Amino acid sequence: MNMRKMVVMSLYLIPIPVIIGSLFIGSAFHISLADLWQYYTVSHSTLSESAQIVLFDIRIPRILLVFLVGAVLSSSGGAMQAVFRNPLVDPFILGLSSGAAFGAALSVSFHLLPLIPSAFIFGILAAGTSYFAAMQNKEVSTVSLILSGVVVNGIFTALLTIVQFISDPFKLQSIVQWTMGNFHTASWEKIQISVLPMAAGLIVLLMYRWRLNVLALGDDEAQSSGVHVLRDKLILLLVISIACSAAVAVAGIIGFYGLIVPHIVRMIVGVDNKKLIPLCITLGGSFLVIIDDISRSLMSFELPIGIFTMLIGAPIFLFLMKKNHIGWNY
Amino acid sequence: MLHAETTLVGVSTNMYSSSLYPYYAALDDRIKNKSIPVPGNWDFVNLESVIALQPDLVIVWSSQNEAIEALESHHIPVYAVMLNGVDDIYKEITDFGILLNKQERADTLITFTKNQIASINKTANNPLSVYFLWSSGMFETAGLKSTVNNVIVSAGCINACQSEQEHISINAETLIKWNPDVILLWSSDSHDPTDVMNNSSLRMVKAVRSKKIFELPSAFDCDLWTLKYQFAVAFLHESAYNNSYSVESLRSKRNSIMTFLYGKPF
Repeated sequence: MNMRKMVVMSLYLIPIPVIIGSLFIGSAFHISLADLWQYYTVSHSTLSESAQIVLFDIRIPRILLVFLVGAVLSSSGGAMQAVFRNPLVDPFILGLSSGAAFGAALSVSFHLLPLIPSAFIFGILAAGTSYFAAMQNKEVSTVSLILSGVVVNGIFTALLTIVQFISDPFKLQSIVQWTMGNFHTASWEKIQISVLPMAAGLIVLLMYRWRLNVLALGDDEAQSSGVHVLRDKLILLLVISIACSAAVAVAGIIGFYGLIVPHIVRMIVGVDNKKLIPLCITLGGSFLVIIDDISRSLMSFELPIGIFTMLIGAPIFLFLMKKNHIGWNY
Repeated sequence: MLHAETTLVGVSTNMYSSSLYPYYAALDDRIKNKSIPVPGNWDFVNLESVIALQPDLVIVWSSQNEAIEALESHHIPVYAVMLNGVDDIYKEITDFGILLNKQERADTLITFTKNQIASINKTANNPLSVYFLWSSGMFETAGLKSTVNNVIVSAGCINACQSEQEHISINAETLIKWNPDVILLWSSDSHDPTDVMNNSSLRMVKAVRSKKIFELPSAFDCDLWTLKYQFAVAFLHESAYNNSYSVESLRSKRNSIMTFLYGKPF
């Protein structure tokens, strides 16, 4: 096995050490691997009750939620770029993030619905509106879809601004913070709410990774290969919208993550979606966990994760881009 | 408070739409009838509407740099407010007293407030630590450079958050480490003490175990950016240290403060 294959294989397995290592990272409580080992092999009393709560009720759900959100955003980004055959596309291109932000703002300001369902519903609504607005004669062109996404994004951003304008400073602060993404309120409850749509989305993307290669050839080529282009695109966009809406609903908006990570993965394994989608899941999830580890261990207070994804992710992306060529030749 | 309400020609937009409306409506018939103009709020000022009112002075948040420049370019004097602590509140009242020719009333208000704060018995040998929780979330709190910190210290307690920052976001892990004796919630319709009690990850926190979780009675009564912060101080002190305090005694305290400040208890 050559070096490159070994690197790729290790990237498939990277979530295991990253997730285990993250259990022992935190600014407030020091819990070591030895402590955990003793907890399971000697006595449960070797860990204080507070440390047990920190480990099992706070860190584990947070790490799992971060991994899931990272995996969903990056694999969805990779799939969207293949479907649209456009390297600038990310999962939020259909206005999903601004729809979700509007839903969250409505919830914060007017309590019409709980925050997570409200963000989820409006995220789906925005993506659905973009899709159906772009549809002409039962066909959806890529350009129309991207343009309608931009317009719907603009509409929901305007609506969000109205809500922000009439909100009091406390609610305004909540809305702004939500739009920057955060995991400091991660909990088992949030995982319970979001795991089904996110896991289902990841499974469908894994199942469709072969077909993504055909779709990435273009509509005519895909059609002549026997692929039902319209149906497959609709299924993929629906699944991605549902999974990403769930991710955004529980974590807020983590901008550019779904754009950058697929490109990083493409620089490693090339454009083959059979490899790209699984690696987007493992590497995308792990990378976000590492970024969150840094954000929660650097200081005792929390900064929105969106800040760190850009400050850490963007330089890595630029470095890789300088060193390698962007892998974008289908 | 300064008995200068007749000089008002315009108020902030939120006066008519927020939960504060009933209180201000009780103070001024023009607000009650919504007849006094609302040319802007804390982050947006309609310049045309302000100029039309021909005010002698406009009071705005000091962060509204563009609005201040625009108003001053039209030769409208501006008083820019930034309240980072109680000293700023006293300075604001003193300045308004001078500007409105109500210096005596301003001095009386400040003296009354300082006496109220001084009357609170702060002889506890082991001051309780207090975690303050803003309405924006369970893990949003206030550090040392805040009016919240003034309230906590004035009530004879210490702030569990020793960060210098005015506003800070933490996580559950940090809150467990701080392990505060008391948790104080800002008044809000989006949360209440049971939300904290029901958060299983906080079950080992001292305040949760001893059920010392309190919500400030109302945003109007405890407005931390006015002299009414004194009622928040009284509320926190009674709730934290006096296990047998009665709702009646607090109501009486509130009414006496409001009557002194506004001339009526509402």
